[in-house]
Amino acid sequence: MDMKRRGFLRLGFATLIGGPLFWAFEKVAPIRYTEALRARFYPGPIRKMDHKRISQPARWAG
Amino acid sequence: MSLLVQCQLCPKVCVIRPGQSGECRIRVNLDGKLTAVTYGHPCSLNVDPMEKKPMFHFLPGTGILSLATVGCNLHCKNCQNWEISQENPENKPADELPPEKLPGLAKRFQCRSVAYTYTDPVVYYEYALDSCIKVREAGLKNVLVTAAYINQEPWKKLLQFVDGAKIDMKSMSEDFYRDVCGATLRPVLDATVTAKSMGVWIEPTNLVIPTLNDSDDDFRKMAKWIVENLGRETPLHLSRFFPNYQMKNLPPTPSATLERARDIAKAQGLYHVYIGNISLPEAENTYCPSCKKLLIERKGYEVLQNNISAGKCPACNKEIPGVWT
Repeated sequence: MDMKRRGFLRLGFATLIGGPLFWAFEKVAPIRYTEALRARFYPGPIRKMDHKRISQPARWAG
Repeated sequence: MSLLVQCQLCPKVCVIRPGQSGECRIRVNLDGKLTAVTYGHPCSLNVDPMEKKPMFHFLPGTGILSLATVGCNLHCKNCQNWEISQENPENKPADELPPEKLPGLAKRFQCRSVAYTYTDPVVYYEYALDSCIKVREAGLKNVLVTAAYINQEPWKKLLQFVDGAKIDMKSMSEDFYRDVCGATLRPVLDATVTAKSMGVWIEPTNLVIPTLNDSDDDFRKMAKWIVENLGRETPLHLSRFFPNYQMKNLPPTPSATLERARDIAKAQGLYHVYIGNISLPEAENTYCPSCKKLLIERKGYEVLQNNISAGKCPACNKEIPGVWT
């Protein structure tokens, strides 16, 4: 089917508007994760494992 | 490419900017990658009595190696463990314990099982998952102590390696979950049913808070739901509330309220309803639902006698569901 002048202009406008929108969406759309990467380093202080402490019940509920 | 990440582990589906964490504080966007920053680093690591979880129909009288990392996806105003659940990992010292070393440590303390507890294993999911696999390979059992606020896909993957779960059923009201916990009820119910369908032994706990979830209707709804969805043999633990964290304006739960709750739950058809966090005579004992014989006598976290033999009542031979060996 031949494209008329109006159709051609519509396609042009759609590309002008939709292209950048698609590009922007790609840039900001979050990447989805269910499982996270296993961190190799803990951000807080590391304490020495104390077997006497471990052998006692925790102060926390549960 | 976008540096935003979306964590799809729990129903909150947090969108996280670079350098920030989700609501749980421990799932962090590091350079456009979601990272579990407490992996292999429990801030609490202790041998507890099984009865402390509480799990009453699961290896009674044994010790259970119990661990947690900081962080939680719920923000309950009454949280008893807020000092670790609502804390950032930067501020809490932790042990270094990779999953492969966990079974050896459990055996060293003569524990037959490991609990992922205190905060919520949902948020330290990868650590709990890898640990559960190693613990199961070593012939030990895994127990989750959780609010079960998690999406179905990761939940099912974890449950393959789980033997028992103490699930917090905070209320049967969406309003309660929203206002008190910053969560929603439906995913919890779905996760509980999924756990049951996958053969995990479940013991729900309901923390009874004066004026917030202590009406006859509250108790009736919960017991009815448990009977219909988990079975009447499911033990229900009713736990006493004490003022804590952001909820210091309410009094401790009166014993009469807990006894009323127990009567209502039993009237709905539940066989085993226990009262905890308070010393009430015989409230923690297990009786045979058929012949009423005393099967397990408990005092606090101690098992004084256990008469269950091969999972059955020694008097009438009725099978008592649970994990006994």
